[in-house]
Amino acid sequence: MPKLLNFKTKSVIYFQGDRTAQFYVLRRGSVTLSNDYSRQTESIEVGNFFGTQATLIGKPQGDTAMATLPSEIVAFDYPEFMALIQSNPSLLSSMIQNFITQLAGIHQNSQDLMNKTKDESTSFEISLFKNATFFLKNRAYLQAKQSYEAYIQRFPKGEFVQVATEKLAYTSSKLGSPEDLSEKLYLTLSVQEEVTSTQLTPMQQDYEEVLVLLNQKKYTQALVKLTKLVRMNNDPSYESLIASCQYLLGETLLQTEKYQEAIEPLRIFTSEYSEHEEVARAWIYLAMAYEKTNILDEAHNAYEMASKLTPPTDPIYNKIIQSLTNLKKKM
Amino acid sequence: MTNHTETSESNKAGGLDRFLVTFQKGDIIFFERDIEDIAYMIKQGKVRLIRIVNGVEKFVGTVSDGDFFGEMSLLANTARSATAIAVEETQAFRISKVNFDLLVKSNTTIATKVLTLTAERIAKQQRQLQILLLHDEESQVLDTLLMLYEGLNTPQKENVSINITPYELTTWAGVNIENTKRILAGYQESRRISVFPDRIIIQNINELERIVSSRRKLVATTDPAS
Repeated sequence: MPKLLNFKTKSVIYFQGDRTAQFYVLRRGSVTLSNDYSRQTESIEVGNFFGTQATLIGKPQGDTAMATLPSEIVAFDYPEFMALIQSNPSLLSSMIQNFITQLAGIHQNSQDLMNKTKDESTSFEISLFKNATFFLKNRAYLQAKQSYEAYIQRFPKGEFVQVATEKLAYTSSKLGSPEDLSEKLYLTLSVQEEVTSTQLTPMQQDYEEVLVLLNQKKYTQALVKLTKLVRMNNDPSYESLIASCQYLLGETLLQTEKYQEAIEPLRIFTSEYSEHEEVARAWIYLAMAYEKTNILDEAHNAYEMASKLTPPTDPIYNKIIQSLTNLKKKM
Repeated sequence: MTNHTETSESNKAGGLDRFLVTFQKGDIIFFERDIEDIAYMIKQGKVRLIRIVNGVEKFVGTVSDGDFFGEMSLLANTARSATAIAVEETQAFRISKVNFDLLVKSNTTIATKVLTLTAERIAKQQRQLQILLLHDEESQVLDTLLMLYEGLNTPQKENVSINITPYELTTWAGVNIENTKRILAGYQESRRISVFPDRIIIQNINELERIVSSRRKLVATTDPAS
């Protein structure tokens, strides 16, 4: 049987972080929900459930529930609650509606916070085109193609329809090519369930030390370790670690003005790890190294590659174009 | 009574088959910000939900057999909050507003499942919202690590390994890659975490929790706007 509970003014029904086993309905009085991460509070209307969402999934309560007037609360345990909703489809239906409204509210809230700094347009047209560009930039050609197709179909007179048509032809031609990452990008799921108490391998330890050295600007020592690490290139399971080392080696050599020596690791990195997240930057470094050693043709090519891989919205983009212009004057 | 339920359920499944659609691996099912009142229930397959914010991909979640997605547009009349991509060949029921109401009202098992799923999504979104409410990027990165730790559901508090790359971390925290790396490097130097290309090891979860919770309280007491 559901229990009837009485609360005095200012008494707490549950605290934020509590795990509750009961479902509460406010029968009479007044209850307010509050939490320590925002100043927003919520008042519960008489007749409504509260705290349901956390109890249902066995998670700690996100709010503290406090009676602000003498209150009567009905508490259901899990089987009682299930029996209640299963026998009352309209209650269940209105609870779903209620949850979804809450979810939409939280979503809107996050959306507003994320867009606070940048004035992102909210129109579907612009969003669709931007997403298409994002997929293209990440060489997810299938998703880019579908996005451009959707754009052209939905906005045949849209602002970007010309560009979309050109890009559509391009993405279609790239589909299934070796550099196409359509499947790779979306087949690697990034949710991890595994916990492993870890023992570092000597290579990982070395890598970790390199990062510390670089952070302390101890370049000479970092270079010694990096050179050693990239030569251990025989175990495929360390491919991503080696890739990072090649990149760091190139970057560090460039920073220490060893331009000639920086070319090789950067060349290897850009050709062998073309999917790496830092590849655009590596092309810039490579271009700089070539430019400093007066190999201007190669420098030009490298800047061109960098400009192709960098979205025009990236602040770096203008710098690349500037470097290209300067370079052309020298050639 | 039991017989009756069974018959009506199998009828429903039979009726639902009319709405079955198939997506190929990699297909985009719907686009962020689009407006359409259609929800999907996956019969078989896997769908990844992502959002692209300021040129950075934010991972929203993965749904699979028996899960609903897209129901928010259906019931809250909002634009699509994410882009849905089939990560494998996926068969799903395409459900309109009218059919959804019918389904929920006539099949309490499915309705209860929808209720529970929505509760889980609220918890997830609320957790991510807490990260966004923090004021500095450092706390945001640390809190993201904590959120990922919580998702592991492990009692382990020391030397915990989270399989995530710094790049993936940016897709959760919404902090750009340079700043994420800089923040991680600082903590790496003080030996609180170890960063590898494919994972991050946290030395002491309690310590991380203390840092984040003190920043959270600071935000709550100094910002009347939030």
